[in-house]
Amino acid sequence: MVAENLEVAYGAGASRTPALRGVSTTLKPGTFTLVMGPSGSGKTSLLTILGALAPPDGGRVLVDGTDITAMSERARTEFRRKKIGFIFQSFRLMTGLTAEENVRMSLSMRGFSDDARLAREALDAVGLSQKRRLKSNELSGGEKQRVAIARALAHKPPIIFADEPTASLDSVNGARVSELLSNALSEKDRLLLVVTHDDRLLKAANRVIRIEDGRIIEDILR
Amino acid sequence: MRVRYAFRNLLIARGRFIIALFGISLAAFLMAMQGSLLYGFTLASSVLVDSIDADIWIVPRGSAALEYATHFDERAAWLAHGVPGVAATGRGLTGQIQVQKQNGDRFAVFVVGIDRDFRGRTPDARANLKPPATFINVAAVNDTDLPALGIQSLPATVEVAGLRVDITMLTSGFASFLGSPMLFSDFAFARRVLAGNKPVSNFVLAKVAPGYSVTAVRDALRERFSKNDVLTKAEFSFRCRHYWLAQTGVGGALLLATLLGFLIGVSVVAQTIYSQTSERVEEYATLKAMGASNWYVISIVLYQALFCGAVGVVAGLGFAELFVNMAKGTIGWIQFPGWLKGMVVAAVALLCVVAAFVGSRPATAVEPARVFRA
Repeated sequence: MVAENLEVAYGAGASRTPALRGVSTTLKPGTFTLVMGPSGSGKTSLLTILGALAPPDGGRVLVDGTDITAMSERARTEFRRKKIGFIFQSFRLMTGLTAEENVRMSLSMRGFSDDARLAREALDAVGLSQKRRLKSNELSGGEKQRVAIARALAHKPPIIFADEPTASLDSVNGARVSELLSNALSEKDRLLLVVTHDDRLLKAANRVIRIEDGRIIEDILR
Repeated sequence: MRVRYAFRNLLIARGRFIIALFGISLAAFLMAMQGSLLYGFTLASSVLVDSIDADIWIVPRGSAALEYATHFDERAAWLAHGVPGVAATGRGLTGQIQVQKQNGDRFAVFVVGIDRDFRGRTPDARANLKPPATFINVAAVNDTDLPALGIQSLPATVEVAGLRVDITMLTSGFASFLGSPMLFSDFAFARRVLAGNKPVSNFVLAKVAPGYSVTAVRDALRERFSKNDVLTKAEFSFRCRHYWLAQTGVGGALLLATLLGFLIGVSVVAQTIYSQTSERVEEYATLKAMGASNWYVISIVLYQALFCGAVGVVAGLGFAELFVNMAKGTIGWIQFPGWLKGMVVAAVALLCVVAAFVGSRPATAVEPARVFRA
């Protein structure tokens, strides 16, 4: 994944505020990249553009040579469905569904016919096979995030994006999530990018990008 | 899985679910009731024309409906018989007249008298008599009209224009929408009470001989009776229906009420679905971020609406069935056939689709990028 000279700004006229100012980077498969920086530095804007959730104001993002920023909204939606797994800070599970149903919905939406089996395997991988029939409001914060990870990984996407995945968790659950994210790299050629403030994730990452005022100020390979 | 998700979403917001059910039930009930009235009225407005056994009708020029046909010389029947292709002709007289009930009250009835060979599906009280019954003037009435005539059992006697008439036969399917019960007698009696025995009728009926085209014979009769309207049975039936439905405004009023039922349903369900969707907009944003298409999102909302519709239409049709049966005592011509129920189901399905497209707007409009706003 190659990001070239990304520009994003919010607002209009005099109140227009730049969020990304010419960000360029290359993300290689098999790497666990952390994007760190203070609030308002542009981390989430970068994740939004790389995740094909919105087009940038300038620059482009190439994935396997295809410019995803030039895609139509429909094509970007399909790209996300096929290529990306998202993990969110606030879990974002479907409240009316059980843990298993949450994972199954993600799979069936993507056309997997054996969604029940794959969902059970994914939940087993995050240690939640015993709680698969519980509704999301019956799960703890750590368990919810593990369901969210199972949901993001179940369809085996080549790209995983996580937004502050440990921010709402205590140290034990944070460590567990960190471990699960590291395990996610066991899939060959998978790209994992995590936006975080949490230094606990540094141990697992093999690359750290620091952003400030919409610019990359540090890019360390570990 | 989206079906399950849609269903669970409904159950989470039970209050809104109940409101949606109420809205759909009400819409289905209103559409069914108004449809029953409209269909029943349509049939009732031409029931005599459709039931009398004639291929061609000759009526005074400009007769808007059978009920408004004026008298003309009955010799037209004999003259019509001479036209090539006419196998048989007959006469008919109809009109309102007051009867005196057994308790002395006076009441308007609609007397129908038709030559015997042309009665078709209309009742023939005299033919129905069993020896040794000997009545001078006999008549049949629709079963729903007995209370209006103050009759508890048959035979019963009423007085029409000073003549004793014995009601000896009950029929069904001839409930009058004019409020005046139909009194089926023979042509001679009708002529006596409606025309003072003058040689008149207000319609002449013709049967077409085998091998002749009805329209060709109609055209030949038109040439012969240029001062009358000569119409096929279908044409006169349509004319009667058109008059009562379109020219009196009754059909428009019933259609408008049916449409209002539909609109009430759409607005209640769309508003409810819209609110439900707005409450869960974050979940829809998550689905879209994960790659759900707008159609996938709309389909979830559509399933919700269709669930509401399925339950609501059963309740609405159940109530309508109950009310139609209750109403038959006072509105004898109301009809609630199976195909009308099917149409109500189809209308409710359409209502749900419209409501789902309106109600899914918050979900389709939401930006998937908002998933990163904590």
